[in-house]
Amino acid sequence: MYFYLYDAFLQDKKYTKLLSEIEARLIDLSIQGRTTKLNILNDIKELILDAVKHGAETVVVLGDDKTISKAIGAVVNLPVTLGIIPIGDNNLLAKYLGIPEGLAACEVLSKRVKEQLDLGKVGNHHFAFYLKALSPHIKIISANDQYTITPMSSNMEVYICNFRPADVQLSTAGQKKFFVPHDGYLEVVIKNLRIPSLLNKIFLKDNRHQNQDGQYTILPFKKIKLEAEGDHDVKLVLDDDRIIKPPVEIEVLPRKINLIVGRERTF
Amino acid sequence: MFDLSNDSVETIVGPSVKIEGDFKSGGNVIVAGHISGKFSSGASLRVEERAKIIADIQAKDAVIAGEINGNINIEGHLEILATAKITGDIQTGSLAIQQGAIINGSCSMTHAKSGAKIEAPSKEQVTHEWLLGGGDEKVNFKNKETFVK
Repeated sequence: MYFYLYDAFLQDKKYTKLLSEIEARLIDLSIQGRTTKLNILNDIKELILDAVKHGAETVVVLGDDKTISKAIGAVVNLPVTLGIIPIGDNNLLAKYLGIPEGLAACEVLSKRVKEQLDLGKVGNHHFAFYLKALSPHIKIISANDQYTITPMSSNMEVYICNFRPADVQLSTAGQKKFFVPHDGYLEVVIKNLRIPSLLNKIFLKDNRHQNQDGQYTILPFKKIKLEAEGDHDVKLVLDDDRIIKPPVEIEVLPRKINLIVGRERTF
Repeated sequence: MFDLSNDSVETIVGPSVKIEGDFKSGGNVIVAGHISGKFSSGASLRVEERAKIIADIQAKDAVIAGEINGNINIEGHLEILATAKITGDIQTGSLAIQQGAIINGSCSMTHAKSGAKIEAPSKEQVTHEWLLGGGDEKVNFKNKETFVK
């Protein structure tokens, strides 16, 4: 049985026609089901739990990356498969999963190609996409306390990734090698933001940054700890949504959720 | 700078990043930042030109273009590029050194088959005039590289 969950922003009139078309297509494909709309008064986790109690085996969320992230956190440990119909402006995660936007996503849903994907766990929270530190003044410590990793410049960005963030631009070879969301690993990514000066570019032929992979530190791991360096106030953002503060322990939960994916997926 | 077309690269330590402690990796590693403590890789290691390592190093194979202060133990082939600065003893299965590399320390080599050891000169700045003893060594001065196999 299917359960469809609409994000609150879809109540905007500009989506009315698209939603009608999607609902009609779902009936054509015989995959229609109960629908509920999210709003500021209800909780996504409670709604999904209630749907599962009433027999839902597939939960489909209609919305953007933030909606999907919230839904993923809500279905952890539940015996359901998660489907996605991407609508809105921010749909990078759906793109990685090979799911086209809007009406075309219905065909992917009906084919039910499933993948078990890893999740990141930080304390009691989960993230499907990535965690970003809002300050580089952070110390990354291996699970067994054997080594620490520290950015040496304040002009750096630190991510803990399951999928590749949009701001992390690697070569094609680099993208294929890392950020595989079912390999049982997450990646620490430290991006060097230093831009070569015009003088260096012209006179010293500083071409170090022409090769985009050269800006990055990438280290796969199963479990690590993050601490703020000294008295620095560091905030960590999970999936562009929830903010937490270090110290935290981060671990990968291998193949923790079932997701319906498309043929065009990137992994 | 980096070549990630080789499928087996597992870890990249980029510029302006410091790793301290006992760092172990089962896969290939590229280092362009700073490492201090101990370092070991079960596969290949590439130390980029701007990298600085203050640590004893162990790896299967290695290409070194950066600065290393510590002993180096390589099971297979070690290639030392012209920009390398090494202070420490080297033990390796086979060795290639480009003209311009600076090595301060002793070098010993063990042939996998015979178990024979070749002692290279110690505490020496390497140039194309590098002197080698007899045995299985091959010297290629045309390419300004010294191969010992």
